[in-house]
Amino acid sequence: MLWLRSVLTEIWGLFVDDGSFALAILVWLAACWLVLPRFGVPPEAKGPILFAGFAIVMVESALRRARS
Amino acid sequence: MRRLGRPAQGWDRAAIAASFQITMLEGTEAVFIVVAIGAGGSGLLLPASVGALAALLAVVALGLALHRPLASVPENTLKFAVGVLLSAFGTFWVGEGMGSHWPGADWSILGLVFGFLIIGLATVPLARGRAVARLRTAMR
Repeated sequence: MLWLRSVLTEIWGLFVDDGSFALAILVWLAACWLVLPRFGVPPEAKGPILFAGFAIVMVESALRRARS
Repeated sequence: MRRLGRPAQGWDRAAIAASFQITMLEGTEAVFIVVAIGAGGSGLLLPASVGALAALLAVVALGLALHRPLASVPENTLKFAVGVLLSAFGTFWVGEGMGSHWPGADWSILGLVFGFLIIGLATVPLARGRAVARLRTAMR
């Protein structure tokens, strides 16, 4: 079963390198998708807001890894 | 991979493994794109599949034509450039999927590329500083 775990770990590693980073991206995506429409954000503003969130997530991830 | 060097004879296993992993990952993404487009309406799956196949052939042809000049580009520079482009295109398509209207339509991809490039260039020194600190610790 060890080989199966290695295979699954390798496959998981293909998609996810930094778990916290990936989770933060998913949370921000869900927030933009589900929450923004409730606040009446115009469609023209959704894209820039999405990018701004990704930018913050990326900078936070880099800062966190730089400190670790 | 350059640090590992080339094997004295036979095929380079590290190169095969790395290419397999990366191509499988990108191939999976291509399948998701085809399925997503195919789900947009009846009769879209076949054109989407043909488009993906044509893209595959184009990439193979470009790879054959450009592999020598691309091999001279530093590995990390190539990874950085690909990361910036993938982030920009991914953000654009996710935004489209969420129903947002990007300012300037497709031209906003250039803005996203520029934005991710700036963020990457600003954060690279942080990662480099960490790598240098680790190297110094290891050398003590």
